[in-house]
Amino acid sequence: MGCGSSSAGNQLAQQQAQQQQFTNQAVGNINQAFSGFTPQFYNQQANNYMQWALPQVNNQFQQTSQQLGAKLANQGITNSSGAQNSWNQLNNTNQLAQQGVASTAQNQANQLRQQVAGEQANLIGQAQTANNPAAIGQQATAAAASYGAPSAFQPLGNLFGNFANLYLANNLANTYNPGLAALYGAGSGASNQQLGYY
Amino acid sequence: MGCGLLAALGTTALGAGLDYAGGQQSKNAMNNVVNSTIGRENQFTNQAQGVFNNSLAQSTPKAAQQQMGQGQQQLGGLISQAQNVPASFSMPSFGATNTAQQGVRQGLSNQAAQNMAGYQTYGIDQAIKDLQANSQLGVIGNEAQSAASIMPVQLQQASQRGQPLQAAGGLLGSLGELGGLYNLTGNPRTNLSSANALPLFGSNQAPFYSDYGYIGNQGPWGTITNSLIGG
Repeated sequence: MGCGSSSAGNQLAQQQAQQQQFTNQAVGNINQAFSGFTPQFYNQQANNYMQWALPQVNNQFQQTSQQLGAKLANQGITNSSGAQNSWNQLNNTNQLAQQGVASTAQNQANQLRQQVAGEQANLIGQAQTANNPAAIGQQATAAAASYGAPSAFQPLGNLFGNFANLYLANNLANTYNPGLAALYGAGSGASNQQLGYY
Repeated sequence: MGCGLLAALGTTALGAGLDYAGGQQSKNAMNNVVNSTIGRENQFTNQAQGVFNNSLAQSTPKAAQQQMGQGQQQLGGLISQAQNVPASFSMPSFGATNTAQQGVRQGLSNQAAQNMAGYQTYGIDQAIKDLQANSQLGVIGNEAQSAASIMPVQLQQASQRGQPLQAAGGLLGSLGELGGLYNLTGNPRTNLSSANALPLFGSNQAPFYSDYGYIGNQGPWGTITNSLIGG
């Protein structure tokens, strides 16, 4: 007299309550595992990138400055307006490079934030059908640990390459060189062309 | 009307009452299931509305300004940190005017980068906020769906709640009908008045009962006379 369906209804209700409990427990474990991803954590990630990248920027800036100084001295135009313009451009390039490093640091942190949020949401999605909250918790801990570990940053590349192309190779090459002018003869039509290949 | 018939009528009435009570019990149980399910679903709805409202509260213009401001401030701090690192090489100075121009130009560039970073941070904050809200809504929706899916089975279970009473009622009703039939068909032991009583048997005749009650009189040769059926 309805015994079968009666027990089926209760059994289903129990299963549903148990699944809900599992889900809540698993979501709690996931949130616990990801609780370390605070704004301070992401700020630290940005700072880590800065500490990694800025010495390289400084090093490249130093090398480019030395090259520029040598070029200017070689041209004998160290105190010219052209030299001033070149130094200004180098300074701008350096500050833009520093600004770029700062932006990249922030982007790295933001990218990590998105990845972590995505992984957390993915795990919560899995938790809804999970019947082992502890396993989901372990998975969440492993995922969180992988995001917390130091990551390999992309190489910076040559930040002053554009400046070198524009101001060291081309711009300064066309600058008047009294030594070369004397060698080839002042006012000769070929001097400028030959200087262009200097 | 004799006591037997009254008893039969009472039994039938009791059976009908029990049958009705069983039906009511099933009906109430089914109503309880429906109300309980609606109550649970309302709880889920409230939960979901809370999540949605919290998420919506972070999508206001004020929140957007705040998130953009945070992004700008964060990049501003990082740029200051980067540009305040002492260079290993000092560039020649070309005068205060030049330095000031450089500073203004760089300040504008930094501000533009910060503004851009503010928009980016706002977009990312919103995306993450939406992702988290969707995730929470997914959990709530899944639980609500799961809770609602068992309602048909619970309704079936509830519909059978009154079956014992209905069965007892049916049994009593049947007994009452039989009793009534038994009384109405001339049971000699009933208290029907003698004037209305059927001529049951003669001096040489004995009453004949089948399994269903009195049928007629049986003569010495086994012939049934005065039968209710037509004898």
